[in-house]
Amino acid sequence: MALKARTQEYLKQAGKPADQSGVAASVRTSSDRKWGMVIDLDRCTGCHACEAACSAENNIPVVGAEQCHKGHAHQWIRVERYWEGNYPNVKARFMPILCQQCGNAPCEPVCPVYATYHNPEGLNVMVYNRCVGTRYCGNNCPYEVRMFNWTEPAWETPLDQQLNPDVTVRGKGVMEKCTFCVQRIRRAEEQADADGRDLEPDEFTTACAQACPPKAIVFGDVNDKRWSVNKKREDPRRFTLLEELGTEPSVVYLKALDDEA
Amino acid sequence: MLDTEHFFDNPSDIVESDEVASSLRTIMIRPGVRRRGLLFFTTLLCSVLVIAAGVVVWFWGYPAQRNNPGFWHFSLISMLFWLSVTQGMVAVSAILRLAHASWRYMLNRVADVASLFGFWVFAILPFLVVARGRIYVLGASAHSNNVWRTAGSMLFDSLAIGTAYLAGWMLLYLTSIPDFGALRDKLPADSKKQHFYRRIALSWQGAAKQWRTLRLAEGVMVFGVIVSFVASQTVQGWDFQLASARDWDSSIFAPLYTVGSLLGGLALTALVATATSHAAKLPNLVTSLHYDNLGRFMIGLGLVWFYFRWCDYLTAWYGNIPEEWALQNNRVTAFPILAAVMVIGCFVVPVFGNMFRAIRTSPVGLCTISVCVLIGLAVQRFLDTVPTFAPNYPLSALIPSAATILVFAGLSGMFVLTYLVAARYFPVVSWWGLSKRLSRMHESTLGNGSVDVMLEDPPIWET
Amino acid sequence: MGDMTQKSEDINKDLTRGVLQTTRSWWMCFLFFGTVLAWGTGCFVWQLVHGIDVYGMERPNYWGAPIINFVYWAGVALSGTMISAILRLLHAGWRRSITRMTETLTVCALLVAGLFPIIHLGRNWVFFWLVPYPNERGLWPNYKSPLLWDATAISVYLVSSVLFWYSGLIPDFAVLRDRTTGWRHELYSMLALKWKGSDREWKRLRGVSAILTVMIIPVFVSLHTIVGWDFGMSIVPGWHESIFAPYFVCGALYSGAGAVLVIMCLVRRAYHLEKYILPKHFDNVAKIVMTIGLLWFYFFAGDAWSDWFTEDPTHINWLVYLFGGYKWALITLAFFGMLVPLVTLPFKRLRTSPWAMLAVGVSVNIAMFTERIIVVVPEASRSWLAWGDYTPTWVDVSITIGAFGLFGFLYTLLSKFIPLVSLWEFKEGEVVDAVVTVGNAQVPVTVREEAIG
Repeated sequence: MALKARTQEYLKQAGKPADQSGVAASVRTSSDRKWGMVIDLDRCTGCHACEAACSAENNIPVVGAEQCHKGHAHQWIRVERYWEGNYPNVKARFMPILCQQCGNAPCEPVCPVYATYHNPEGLNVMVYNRCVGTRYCGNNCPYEVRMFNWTEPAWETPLDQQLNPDVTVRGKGVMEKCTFCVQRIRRAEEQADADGRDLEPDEFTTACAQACPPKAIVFGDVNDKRWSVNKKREDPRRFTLLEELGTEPSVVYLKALDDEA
Repeated sequence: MLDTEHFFDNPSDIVESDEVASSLRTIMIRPGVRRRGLLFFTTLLCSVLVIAAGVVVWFWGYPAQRNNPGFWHFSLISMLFWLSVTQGMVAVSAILRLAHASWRYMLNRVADVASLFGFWVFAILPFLVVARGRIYVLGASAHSNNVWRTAGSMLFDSLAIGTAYLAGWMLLYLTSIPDFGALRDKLPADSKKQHFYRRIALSWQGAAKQWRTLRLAEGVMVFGVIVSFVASQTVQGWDFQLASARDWDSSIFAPLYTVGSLLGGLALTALVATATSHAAKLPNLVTSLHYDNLGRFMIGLGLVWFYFRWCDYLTAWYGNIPEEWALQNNRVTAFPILAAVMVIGCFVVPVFGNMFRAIRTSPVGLCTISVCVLIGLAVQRFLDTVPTFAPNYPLSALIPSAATILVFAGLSGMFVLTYLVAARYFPVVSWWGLSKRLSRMHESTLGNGSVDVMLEDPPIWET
Repeated sequence: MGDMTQKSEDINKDLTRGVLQTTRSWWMCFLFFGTVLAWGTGCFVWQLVHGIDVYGMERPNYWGAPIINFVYWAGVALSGTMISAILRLLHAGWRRSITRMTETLTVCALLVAGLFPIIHLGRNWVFFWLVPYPNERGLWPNYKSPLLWDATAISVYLVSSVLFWYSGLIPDFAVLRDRTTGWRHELYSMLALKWKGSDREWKRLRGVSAILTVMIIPVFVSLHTIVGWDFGMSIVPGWHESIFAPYFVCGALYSGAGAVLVIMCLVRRAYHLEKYILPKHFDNVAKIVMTIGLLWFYFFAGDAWSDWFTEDPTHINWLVYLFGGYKWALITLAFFGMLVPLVTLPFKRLRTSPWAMLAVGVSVNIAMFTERIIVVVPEASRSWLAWGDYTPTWVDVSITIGAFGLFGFLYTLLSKFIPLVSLWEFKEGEVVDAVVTVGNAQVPVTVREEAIG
């Protein structure tokens, strides 16, 4: 239940008038929202700023070159690079891939302890404390966006000073992945509740979208048509990744336009 | 004290003895065609059906129905159904030989004769080729989910099917040699018939050495039959392995259909054996012991069939890939009654019906169960393939019409005719098997109990 | 009658010698396996400290040696049930000498197998969250997950195997109780449950046996079906196959039958049971191995063919990897699992030779272990959008060897407490089996108890 609704319920039970909490009755609850994203591949320059921002925002451990060499690279968003053509007519295509927050996620039914489940906002949520580390979800994710903590994450001083206090620091043996910066979602929602208003369209965004220089990544509430993400989702260049698997991803990609020769 | 008077007698000699000769007289070859009686009318009816089906197929179906998937589909699955159950019968006979089941003697020849259906397969092979080709064209051309996407050559299918039937013929011929010898001896010397049997009996005298050779040959052919049966059903299964989603095949399809063929073969063996015992007027031919064991075998096969079917369904359901699940689900939602018939016929009836001793050991009970099994298997073939046409053709086009039902009837007529024609030329019930059973089965007392004792030859692999 | 008593005494002496006397070679075996186990445990502790990083897995391949070992040992665990339950249902009298040692094989293998889901976890110390117990947070495990079906199936199979094994042991515990003193006498008195060998007790034992025999068969079929569904229910190309359930059951039976051959030969040699485990036993088990091997090959070929048939890159990738980088695994599988059995098992002289059959059993197990590698690694390594590899580290290898050490340790330990040939079953066989002269022939005759059902 959303914070606002719970507060109202509590106040009602305590016999206090609802608007004493300062929360307006017409505010939308979080279960009305559905978070989605659009990534415009025509704008993506492959600069990896999204990766850096995500790592900073979400306390992602810096695993080091040796771990990356072992196939244990740890990044919640990765920019995949595909080469087309042969030299000298080579073209690079960049595709940032992050957790698609699938509506029909293959990673959810296979977790034996419900450490990953679907919440009413359309997010595929990770409960780090519940994860026992069977890694079935990692195998079953076709986008390979799930990252496992193969070792105990560690930050050398003074890097431990820059950890985000809003985000849990995970231990070893736990699976993690992009959460659509759920901490920012919650912070914005709580702020809006405290101010007694609804969320403004485009009031906040995820770290990757914030950092992207050409604004290739746009994040927002798909159910609220005022957010800018919805206009982009209608673009005729749209496609979703691995559509045939029926995962119903919340991330929509926009095809890059080729230059007219 | 065991009565050993006839234990070591040569089965070929027993055929002559008074005790068994009387019961064998009814299997004697009829010299001429009798124009009365149930057998005659059955023969006539089947022949008419076969000819009518042939006419319908080649003079109406082939030109006029080129683009009607329903006609080709139903005809194709009818042919495949009969192909699979006849090969299944031969495989059941081979398995019983391999397992050295003491009750197999009466059923072996009856089941082996089904391999003669292979001669009909030569006749329907052109139709099979055309039907298969049309299905691939009609299915693949308009179909977006890539189901009927390989119109591969018919070579492997023909090879596999042909080898399986060939192995069945060899097994049938080799195990009939003692009976050909007996026929050669019974018929008047120097008649044309006697000459024929003398040639195919291959100087069979019933000597011990000849029996050993026969058993060795039987052992080799049993192995050949089982391998070729599995290969044949598997190749047919792979042919129609059916992408359950784009580029995804259901890998259990081939084993599922192999087991289904075995189950169908078992059911049809029970039916044919019962029919034969009535036609030959030998009520003790197939005893409650046979029905009991056939029923138990059916329980096992029914369980395995359901297990494979459930694997197929569960894999698609859990994976939840839209196209794959749509196909699986469509089978049930578009034809709920048929789906129920299939599961009831192939699983519920044989497994739970056969758990009751009273049903399992009675001819009526087991034959009813067998009929349900065969219906279930036929429906299975229909259900597995029809939904693959669903988005592109209306279901009404795929419901069997009068013509396709006639095709099925013609194929059934072919099967019945196989037995009726074969029975004119050699005993459909094994004489030497019968005499072996009669001579070697003795009731003796062991302590307080009365025990049926049968002296067996050593297993084939110890020959 | 007197003859039988003397014979019974001889049998007792022969078969309880292993329990009542401890030889130096037993101690050496015990210490050897104990050392290997200690090494394996040390590696596990190393894993606890350093995390799953110590294994050689690379994204997208998240499952490695622990899962491979789990599937392998669960497969070996099928052996005892097959011998005891299935052969009992088929009234195969020759099973009597080998039921106990194979049931013990099952129990030990299951204990090893059951450890691996715990070893493979990222946070092993909270493995008990997979157990449905009421808690203040109101959390239950997810029964839609095949891993939960796994946990359930293993537990049920473990409990039923132990019950099966134990119920058959009671009369033998009574024999040992009557022949020991001191702490052993106390132990066996407790385990023998006041068994006196009266008719009523035997009748009850047979009843329990009959029920367990029939019930354990669907349990073990479902266990390996569910292990197969761990992979079959995923959407990974190469794993999402409908054939996995029977394929895994067949593979399990194959490796289990091979393990039976190994155990038969080793126990026979270790305890000098040449009079009890005869060449014909090896012959019969070898025939089982051959038949199951052919069936297994059929399912394996069907599985590989299906993906080749699709001609789709996503599904071919793992096959290409298998025939490319992993071809050593395929060759091992073909050589040890298909070629060796095919050239040895058709020959009766080899089938009846214990040491030849030991070699075949070891060969089959090597092949089936490789098969588990083939089932787990190439498919997971070739996902849609990411490719990885799997290079076993010393921890992978040590855990595997440690598992064998644990198994050997448990088996050696148990052989000190239980006779590895079932005394009462063997004696029963001596009584109900006879040879009768019919004409010139000697005919083996068995008086059978009533068939089940």
